[in-house]
Amino acid sequence: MNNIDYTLALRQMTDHLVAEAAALEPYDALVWAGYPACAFQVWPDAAAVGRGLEASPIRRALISHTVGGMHDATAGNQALAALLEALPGGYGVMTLVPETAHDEPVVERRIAVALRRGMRAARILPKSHRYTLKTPGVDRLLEALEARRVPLFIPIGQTDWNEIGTLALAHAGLAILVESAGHHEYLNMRAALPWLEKAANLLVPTNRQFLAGGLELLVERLGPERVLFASGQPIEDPWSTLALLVKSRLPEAARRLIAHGNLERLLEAVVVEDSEE
Amino acid sequence: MNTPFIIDAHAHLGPTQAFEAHHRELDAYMDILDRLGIELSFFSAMPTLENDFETGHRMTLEVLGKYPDRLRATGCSIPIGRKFRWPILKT
Repeated sequence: MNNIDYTLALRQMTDHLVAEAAALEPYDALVWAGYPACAFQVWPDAAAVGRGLEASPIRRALISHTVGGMHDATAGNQALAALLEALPGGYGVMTLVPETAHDEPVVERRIAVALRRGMRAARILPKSHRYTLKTPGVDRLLEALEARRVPLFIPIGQTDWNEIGTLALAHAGLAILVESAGHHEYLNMRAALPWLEKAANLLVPTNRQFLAGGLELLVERLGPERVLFASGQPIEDPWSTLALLVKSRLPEAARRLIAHGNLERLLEAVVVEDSEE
Repeated sequence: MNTPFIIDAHAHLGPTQAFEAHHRELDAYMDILDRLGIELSFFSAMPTLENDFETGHRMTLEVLGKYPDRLRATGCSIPIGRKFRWPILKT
């Protein structure tokens, strides 16, 4: 067919893709530390996270911990806080559960402590932690996050679009990142898009967005300010979503917003210090 | 830069009942091939995967006729029962 040196050619293509990705200065909204149930790679500590990021064009990341996601919220937050101490400049995602007693401002205090220890976003996992978004106590948790402008991750597999959409309309000041709304939700666009269009505080991280045209569709319907680069590495391959962004037909300004601008804007808005604390 | 000859062995074209595919039309798909440097693509027409074999195979032949050097296709049918046939592909 031809005399192409395929090893060299593929290396050149890869180098070109890495350079294009690095130029976007990606800030990854979803990186997992700890031991996932199933993955080819694990980043158990700060050193591993640092090495992992160093090996990619991604230099900044918002860190989540598998203990919070798969086991216990409190233990996960402690493990993540300890990791962040060894990762200067790194920010984390706290895991929260609704309180069942209301005799003291427990949720508010837990959020304040977590923010001081380097958390800048939160995640709730209703299905894993055995409650629903209609459970009493959830509203108070969301109000506490909204008051401090803490972005909230909710994996779509933990609830459904009707619950998330209703919640978003009731807490319009809360940025809700509908996590893992990728391939599966692309197939569910008829259920997802009406809610995404109706509630402007619903944002879409890009992890598991690997279908051609998915990013362009979201930007066309929602605008570039509501899509954020997130990889899910090392559990997921960061290149599946990073390459989609680099090779998208989106304008440069939109790609830079998605790569880092939107997450920076969210994190800068978080109210870390509380005058009453 | 030398460019490898890339073949996409699994692609889909056309409408589907399940969702609104953003790049389902032929021109948008050819744009993806050009953007990613894919020389040759094997596709299935979505209607053939949803039991509309007549529509799907007519679409397959029409598309193949427009880009004979860039596209190859897979047919699809149910290979059991008295109604099993490949009427379109035999023409």
